[in-house]
Amino acid sequence: MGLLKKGAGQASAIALTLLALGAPVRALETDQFYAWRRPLADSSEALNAKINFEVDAALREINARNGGRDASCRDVRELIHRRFTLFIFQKIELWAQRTAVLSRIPADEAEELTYRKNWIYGHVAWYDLSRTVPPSPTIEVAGVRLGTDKISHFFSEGHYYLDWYDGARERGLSHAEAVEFAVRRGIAIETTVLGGVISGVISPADLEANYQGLSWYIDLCAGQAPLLELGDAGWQMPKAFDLRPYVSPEWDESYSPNVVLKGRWVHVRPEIERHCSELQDPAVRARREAYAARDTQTFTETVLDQMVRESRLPDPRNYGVGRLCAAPGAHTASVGAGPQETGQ
Amino acid sequence: MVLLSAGGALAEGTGNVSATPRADAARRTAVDQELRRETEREHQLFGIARARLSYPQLASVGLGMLIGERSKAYDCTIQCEVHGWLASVEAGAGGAVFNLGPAYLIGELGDNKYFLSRRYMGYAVRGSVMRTWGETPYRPDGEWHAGVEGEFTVVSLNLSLGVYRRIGHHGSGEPWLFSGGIGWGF
Repeated sequence: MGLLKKGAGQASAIALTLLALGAPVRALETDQFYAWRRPLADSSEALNAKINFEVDAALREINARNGGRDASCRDVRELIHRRFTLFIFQKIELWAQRTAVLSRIPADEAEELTYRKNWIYGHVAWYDLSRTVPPSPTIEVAGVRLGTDKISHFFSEGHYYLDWYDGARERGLSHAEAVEFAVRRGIAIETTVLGGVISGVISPADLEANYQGLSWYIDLCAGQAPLLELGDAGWQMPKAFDLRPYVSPEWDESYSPNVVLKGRWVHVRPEIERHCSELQDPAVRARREAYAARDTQTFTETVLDQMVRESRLPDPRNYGVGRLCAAPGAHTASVGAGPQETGQ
Repeated sequence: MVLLSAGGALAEGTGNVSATPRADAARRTAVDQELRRETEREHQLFGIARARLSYPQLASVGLGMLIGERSKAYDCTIQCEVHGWLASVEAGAGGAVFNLGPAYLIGELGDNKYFLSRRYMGYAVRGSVMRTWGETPYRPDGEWHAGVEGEFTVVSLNLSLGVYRRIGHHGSGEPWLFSGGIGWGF
């Protein structure tokens, strides 16, 4: 047991170190305000096609060795994970920023260079990391506008969550307890080391994507009907991947606001306020109303709300365009009771 | 841009509903073809530069060439991934080094046609030959060394470590030399 604890401690230390080394990618910010009044086609099917393309490639690779019979479901899961991630920068993010199959804003190289000057982090201090690394473009999936960094979070940090989840399960925690452990650890790192110190931005939207990534990774191998199956033809995923059920309005950073720490906030606040007049734009209004209609209290929000009540986190709503512009329609999911993880 | 419109066309309506099954199939085919095309690679030559504080070169500057493969589907005006071989020469107050080895880099050219203007992340392991000269602490002037250097760059911050062994007959004292540096570039 002591050895197990020591192993878990070492694994945690390694994971924290890797997360800290990956800090620059955490400075990969995004700006959905920039895309507010611009038309954007839904990229769900194209994004799903790419993800299924990579999953198929991983399955072919694993099945090429003895029909996949030597590999466990976890092995397959790890191989799938590696198809989407790299060290620090993520493969899926690099792809999403360049591919022609997604409809995105900015759409091309010329607009990308304009975007870098005019996005909400475009006027932060010269030494700020967000001026050094490329901003993530906006795409639309299932009617939600999101930064392509959310796809990275889904596959990369969702996998960190999975490691913490697996560790917790090995220590005897139930599924719900292990999920809560992983989510709380993710939030703790976001609000202290990464968001709190390194990037200066605490992003509930990123945390939502992390959580959904965890859900998918768990579903690949666990439960009564895991997504991965070993059959005569080797490992298969009979039901093609579909990102849409995982995406919610909470992934849109113009709707689910970030907590921006002081040094950055003085530069970012005026940039957000510049968009106040756009709140009356019919398309912006319609989108925010559609978001509000499907908005639910997520598990991550419940944990964050608890931290706000305990004064351990500034209220993200105070950084939202709704309150800044004193207009209706801001992201105002209610502060709930204690956190309850109800999945599975 | 046919392929971009293929991506856009996929999104007609909500992304769930399409005009006809045939149109749906055509769009899927276009996307699949483009996804396959993205896996095809082509070569490109990139110029790289760096300036560092290091031992034993002390203050040094370097220039090099990365001959790499990138996706055929898009150039490196904005961020791209390059696998290839990196050759560079670096000279400083305490010596000069020639390096050659495999490298991986995520970077971009920006407005520049040949030189990578931004280096987001990269690493290389390279065989190196070094000649010391001038005021190098702890090392005699005019020694030749051969060794291996590893380097890692994140957001243009470059870190390197190396180990060398003296070659040739001249020189005295410790034959092994450990190098290290920190600076800008790749």
